[in-house]
Amino acid sequence: MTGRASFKRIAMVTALTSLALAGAAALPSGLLGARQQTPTLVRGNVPGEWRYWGGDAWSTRYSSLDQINATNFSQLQVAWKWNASADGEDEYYRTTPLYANGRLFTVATNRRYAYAIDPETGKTLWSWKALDEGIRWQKAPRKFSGRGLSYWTDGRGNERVIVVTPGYHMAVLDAKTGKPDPAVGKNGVVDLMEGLGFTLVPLAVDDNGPLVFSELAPARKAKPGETWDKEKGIGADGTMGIDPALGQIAASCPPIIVGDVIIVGNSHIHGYYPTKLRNLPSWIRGFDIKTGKQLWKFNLVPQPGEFGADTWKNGSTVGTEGVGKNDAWAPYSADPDLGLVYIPVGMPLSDEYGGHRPGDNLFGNSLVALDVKTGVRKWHFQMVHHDIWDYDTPMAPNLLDVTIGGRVRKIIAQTTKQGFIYTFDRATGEPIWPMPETPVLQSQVPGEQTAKTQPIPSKPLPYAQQGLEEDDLIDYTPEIKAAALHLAQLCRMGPYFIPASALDGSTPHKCSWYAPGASGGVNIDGGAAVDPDTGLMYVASQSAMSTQEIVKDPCSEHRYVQGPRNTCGSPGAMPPPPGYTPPARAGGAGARGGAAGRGGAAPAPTGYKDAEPGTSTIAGISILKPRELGGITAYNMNSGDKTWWIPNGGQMAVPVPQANSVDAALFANVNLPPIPVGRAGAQPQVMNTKSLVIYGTGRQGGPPADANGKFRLYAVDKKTGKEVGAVPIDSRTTAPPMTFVHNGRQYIVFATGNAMSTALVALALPR
Amino acid sequence: MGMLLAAATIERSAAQAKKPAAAPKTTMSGIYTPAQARLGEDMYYGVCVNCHPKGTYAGAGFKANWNGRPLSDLYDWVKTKMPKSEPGSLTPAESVQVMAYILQQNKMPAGTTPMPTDRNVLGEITIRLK
Repeated sequence: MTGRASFKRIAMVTALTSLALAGAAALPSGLLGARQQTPTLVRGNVPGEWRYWGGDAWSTRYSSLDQINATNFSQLQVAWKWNASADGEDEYYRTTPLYANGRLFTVATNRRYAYAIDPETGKTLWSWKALDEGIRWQKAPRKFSGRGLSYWTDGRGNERVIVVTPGYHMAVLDAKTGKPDPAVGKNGVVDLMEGLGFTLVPLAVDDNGPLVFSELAPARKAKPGETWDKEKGIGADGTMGIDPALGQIAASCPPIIVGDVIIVGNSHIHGYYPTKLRNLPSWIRGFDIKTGKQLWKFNLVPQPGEFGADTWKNGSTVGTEGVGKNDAWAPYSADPDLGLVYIPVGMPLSDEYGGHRPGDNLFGNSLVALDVKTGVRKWHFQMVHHDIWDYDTPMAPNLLDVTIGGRVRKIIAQTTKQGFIYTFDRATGEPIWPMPETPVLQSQVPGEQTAKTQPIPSKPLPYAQQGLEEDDLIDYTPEIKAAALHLAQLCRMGPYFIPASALDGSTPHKCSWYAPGASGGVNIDGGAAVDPDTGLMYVASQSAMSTQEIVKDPCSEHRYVQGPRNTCGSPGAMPPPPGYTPPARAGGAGARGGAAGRGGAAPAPTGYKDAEPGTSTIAGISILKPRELGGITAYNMNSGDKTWWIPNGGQMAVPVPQANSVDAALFANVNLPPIPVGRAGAQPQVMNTKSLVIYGTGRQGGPPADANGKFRLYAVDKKTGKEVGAVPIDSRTTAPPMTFVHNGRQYIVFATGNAMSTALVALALPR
Repeated sequence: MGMLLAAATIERSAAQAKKPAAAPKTTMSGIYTPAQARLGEDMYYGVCVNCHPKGTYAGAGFKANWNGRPLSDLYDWVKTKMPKSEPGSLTPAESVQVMAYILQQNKMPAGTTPMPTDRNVLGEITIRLK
């Protein structure tokens, strides 16, 4: 797109928004709906609406609306609250709803029911109570409401809402009624376990519970003639699915729709404590919205003969040792003009040990651009080779048109757990700023073969603590620096990508510093919003540090699993070998002697000199120098430079050393610098409007509740990061918020709560 | 007066000494409050659920790892090793709230006295599942 074209597009956005704000209130909603049936789409969205999970196909989380602005943000009031638990419980409510053509759409409950809501009153217009998925639901790896759903219209009055269920079915519903479209699949439902090359088998269970520890207590193939024992809730219930012996797949994110093509992938089990060495790989598929017919399939674990298959040195076919996962579980983005969809891909099987899958393991940890119509790979970039850090690509990439060095560039910026933003020309995949393959530390764990190099972006600078080096340590006095260095050297140090150490003494250290850890950086809750007008990017992240220590696991098929525990004794784990005794456990007796074994005596106070490896505080003070990391970091993507930074919730305070620590004297007469108030390991949740960045503090981030038990939704100036407003809310946000204009009134809606207290909350200015 | 008080005290002590030893306190004795469990549930969904989906901290798995151990072991584990992304970041109060939620999920009854954060007291309570 040329600079001139960009200007035209911006002007059109503003004009349409003004029209919506100025004129909509005078129009009956029916007329409004009719007028909006043939709107001009901007990035796949109608200005003032929110038709994609990320606001538009570019995942900007941007709205050109400005009725709510710095002058009135703090006047926002609750317009309505929609009870998302009315039909059942959930995990935490991680959904961002959609607004399209006069209706709000969402999912809710751990069965992922779909709903349409009146945006003005918060009343339910229709609901779709999913299918009875039987064993497919009972043993689904991702039993929660998920991130949301998808919307499609042909612009001629036909509208659809698409939801993928926990049991991996895809339903195409009439957006006006919630009724499944009979022209699609079987009665409006496509079984996503079909079309992957497996013969579906009847399923059975031996217990009435869910999966345990990722993959234990799974379903199984039913025996011939097996029936359902209604009383015990076991047996074969008639459900068909992929043979569970091959593994488990599911989905938790909505598909993305470009033109008439639904692009859908899958998520997978957790990779924390796998016991099985083999699991299903992952796929991206295109489906025809009008029929449900599968159009194409792209293998995220390349099969023999395909590009990338040689990055699996032991082979890549289903059933090969070490093969599994590579699931693209985050939301996707697309450029409808280029006809490309962008897939952020997760990691292969087993989060912290890759000794069973030598090679770079494409397309794990990659950003993959696929042709929407054919599924053919246009380009890809692997951001982490042979991942052993649980660095799944966790968030939809953000698209922007910016001017770099006087040249208009169509870019795509991928935020990651590892704290880097990887920026590319989205048409070609060419890095915008150099990302040289850089030598990295090598694993010392037996059997592990780490990649010799990793690509390291030269720009933008990271938004989270990476690794641990001497320069990162507090050095307020020589004694404090020496103490911090003593603790730091107890675990393996390095700038980034520090391989895990083994607790069994087979490596020089028993732990490795882990920053960012498995939760990022950016993860499920955070991610970025971008301003298509200015090219600013607002990254919501966390910055925390922990350690990696892997352990041998005699009860798993994997040589090592993440420590400090193994899986022995867990339901479904392999029995331990004869003579096995549990290893000593930190924080508890290795030999389970009961209360008498330890007598409950408090340990003698210890200082840093006697601290366990992995201790990262001295008298409660972090050994890390306070830096402007985590929270919200604004980048100017025209230059790649940081513009501003704020902590999550905006508050800073001077930490106080623990007075009862034997190390407290180290900090006597030391003026400590302030640090952010609130948990470092929590991510804010951002969106942006014409003039504001609006954010919630996330599930456990930011300052604690005030004296009235209230949290806050914040607004900051987009150019400076200065707080311009804060609204009391009853409970923290649990997903990124969204906004839209309906009948001339701008609303901000966010999800909140968990279990049986989930809700959508709509805020608006007083009438 | 002082003599009388001393004599009464001795008498009471003697009476107490004759009583059978109190049964060891266990987690079935109502050693947390519903309010603690509610706060722990919020913490679970805010932090713990990232790595511990439902079903991984209750039932047979929990029993295999913790049954018969002093509650101070669980406290030490939660306080120093959790959450994995930021170990040691839970306050003592948050740690026992999470523990209260875990006990509740394992069908151990709530009581009227809050679970303390004192390791010595927790060390005298044994984790006991049915």
